[in-house]
Amino acid sequence: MRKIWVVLLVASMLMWTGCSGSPSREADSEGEGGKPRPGGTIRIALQSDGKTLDPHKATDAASMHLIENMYSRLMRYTEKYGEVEGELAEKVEVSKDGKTYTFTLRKGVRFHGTGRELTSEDVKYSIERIIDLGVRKDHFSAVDEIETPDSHTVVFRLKQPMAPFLTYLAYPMNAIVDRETVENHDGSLDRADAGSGPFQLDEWKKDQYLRLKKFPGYYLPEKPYLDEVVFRPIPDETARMTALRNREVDMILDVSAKEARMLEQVSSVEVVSVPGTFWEYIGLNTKRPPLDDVKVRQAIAHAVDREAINKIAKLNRATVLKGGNIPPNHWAHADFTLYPRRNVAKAKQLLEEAGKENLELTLKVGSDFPYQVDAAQIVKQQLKEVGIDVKVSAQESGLFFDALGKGDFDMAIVGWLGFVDPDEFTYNLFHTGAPWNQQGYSNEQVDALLEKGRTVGDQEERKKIYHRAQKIIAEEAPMVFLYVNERTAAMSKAVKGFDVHPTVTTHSLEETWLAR
Amino acid sequence: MLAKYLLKRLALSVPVLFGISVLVFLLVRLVPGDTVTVMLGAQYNEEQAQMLREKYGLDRPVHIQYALWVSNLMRGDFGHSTFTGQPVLAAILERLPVTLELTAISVLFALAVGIPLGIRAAVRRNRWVDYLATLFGLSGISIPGFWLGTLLILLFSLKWGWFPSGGYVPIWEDPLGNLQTMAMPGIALGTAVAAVVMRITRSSMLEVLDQEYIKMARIKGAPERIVVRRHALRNALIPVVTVLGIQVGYLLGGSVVIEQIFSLPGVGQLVLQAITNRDYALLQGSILFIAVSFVVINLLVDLLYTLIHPRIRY
Repeated sequence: MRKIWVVLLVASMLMWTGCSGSPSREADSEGEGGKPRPGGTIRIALQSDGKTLDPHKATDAASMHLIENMYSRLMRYTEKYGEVEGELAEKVEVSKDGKTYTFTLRKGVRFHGTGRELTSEDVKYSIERIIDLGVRKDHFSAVDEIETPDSHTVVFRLKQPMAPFLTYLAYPMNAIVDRETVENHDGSLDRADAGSGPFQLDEWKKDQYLRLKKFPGYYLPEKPYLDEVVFRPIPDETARMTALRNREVDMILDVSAKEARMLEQVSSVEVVSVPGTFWEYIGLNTKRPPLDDVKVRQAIAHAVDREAINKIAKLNRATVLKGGNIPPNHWAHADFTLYPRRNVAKAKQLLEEAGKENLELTLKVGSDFPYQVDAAQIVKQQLKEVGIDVKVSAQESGLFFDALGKGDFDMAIVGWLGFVDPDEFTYNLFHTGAPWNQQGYSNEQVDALLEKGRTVGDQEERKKIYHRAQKIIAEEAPMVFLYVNERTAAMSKAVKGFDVHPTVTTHSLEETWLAR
Repeated sequence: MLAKYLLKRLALSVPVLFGISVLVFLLVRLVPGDTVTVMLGAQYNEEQAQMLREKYGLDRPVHIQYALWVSNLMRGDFGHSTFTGQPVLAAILERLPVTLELTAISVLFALAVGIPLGIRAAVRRNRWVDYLATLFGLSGISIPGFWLGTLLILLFSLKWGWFPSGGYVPIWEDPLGNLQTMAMPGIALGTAVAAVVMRITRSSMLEVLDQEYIKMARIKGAPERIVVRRHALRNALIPVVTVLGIQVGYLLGGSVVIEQIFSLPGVGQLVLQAITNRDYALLQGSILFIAVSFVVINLLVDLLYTLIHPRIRY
């Protein structure tokens, strides 16, 4: 946590002296080919169209891409994964007990629609709207009261200390919205723009394109460089890759391992990969026999060949998780190896010790995620060799998530994306009775560690806490961690200054320019 | 007579549509998972879900929800999409031109290819034209549209660069650009219909050409061209029109796959999204709309018979 304060301080000092954005990104864009050139339109292909433009309602990546650059938040992610800095917040003060956060807001920030200045009232209104709409209520469960002593000061009083609080505020969809615009649209932002971000909504033709145009009143002078950003949903893989190769679009924001391999052969295209946040696992329902027996779960964890699945389902582009679930590029990554390689003998021995043989289990998987269906088929083969007969059941998303939410599964392959704070990687998934603890996992020691982890401010201490928690969890195997994926974008070589971020954020579009 | 027939048909369609509305409403809800499950995805938890269900009125008994929906329908209100907040009718009407155009292009393509080929095949039975046509008929039906679509993109867009890989330009904005974007999907979709039309035309022609009055026409010395076109074709077209009517009905429901491949914002894509999102109002509205189109097209086809075959009267 200490480190976050330092970043914050540096960032706010830079803003005070009139310097904008993060210095490293600036240097990046210059280094890539000279001085940023203003103007132009970037066309970005997405796999699907967004469902809504309401930041407080959106949960899918496509909607987030469309929405993100229309809005500003109190905080934002820095280029370094896991850290945040002030966006609308010029200064943040945290009380000693960690229960009071005082934000001083940047002055002169204006909303797109009404042209009104953003004030502390808007911040209070926005956070209350998030809580009220329910989708991400959970991020602010610790908030007791929000006060607005003056137009540019917001005070959050928390019921208990909440270490990931600033990270939650940086979540791209926890946007500050214009109360007047919301009210003008009868409370719905599904098709409206109530933001103060670098780009404003120009036109959304559902399933055709969404066009954003530069907001001339943006608070950072000279930003953004681009005149327009056009998002085009192209669901078909071949059509999408053809569009990039034919220069009908300039970028595909998120490419699969297969697409990346093909696009790397194209000379006009640059494929950029960074270690990502999308991690996948096999969830084991600890409430159902025989998976309520820790030895059976461990046997499965030993019997699964993560490298082989990575090779076939991910073309070897993912990083195998042999220990905990927090990825290696994160400060809270725990450096231990529990499942170095597949160990059939050990798996068989564990099953024998548990006295379980000829097991029959169902493995559920979402059919909208073909790579997870592939992985499921490989897991089936691998478990067969230790005497577990797996039936793979691929279900349509709605069905699949319904079964998952209700705990109606033996095993399930699932993935999570976009986590930043270690609390997100652990608390809601492994704490007893936590909302997304679909595995029904419960361990008092883990519960205590995770509770402590969210209240402790010091990063080093938190690192130790999450190290221990991850170790216990990996050993007891309510999930068999598989791998964490790369985040890969493919773009035309004319695109400069775009930062492919481990999370789904596209915030760097405000720094992006076109060299053509 | 015709007016009476029309009234009877329209009156009959009322119970049909009522039945469809009940079926649609119930089927949509029988599938596990609802709007809220999709909205929350993997972040689903019971407490939050319950809160959202109350918000969207999904916690009410099904018959009450149905009564509400129907009473709103009576007033012309199809409801709003849960995700985009757009009125359902507006969403359908916005996409209808795309689907109508796609349907028109594929039907035109099907007729232009299917009928002449079917006639030639029938007239030159067991000759090479016939074999070629039969081969086309067989492959046209068996080649899946998505494969043909992908092949067309790879060939005409990536290799030769004649057409854009997808997307949609309204015809009133840029007629040429519109044709460029619609040609490939039209062909991809129309090929299967062309194959069906060809086969029906061929078999129907063969049957008609074998009848006494055709022999009579030939004996009377009518040229073969006139025999085929004037005497045989008109009678042979009735089954073709019937089949085409059914095909158009399907096409209006939107070819989900073709629209998906060519990123066309048509009705099919709308329905697909409504299903995956469990967007109840949108799904019910669009399926009801498609059902009504089916009923109307069937009626039109029945009326069309009287034009083709004067002996048919209602």
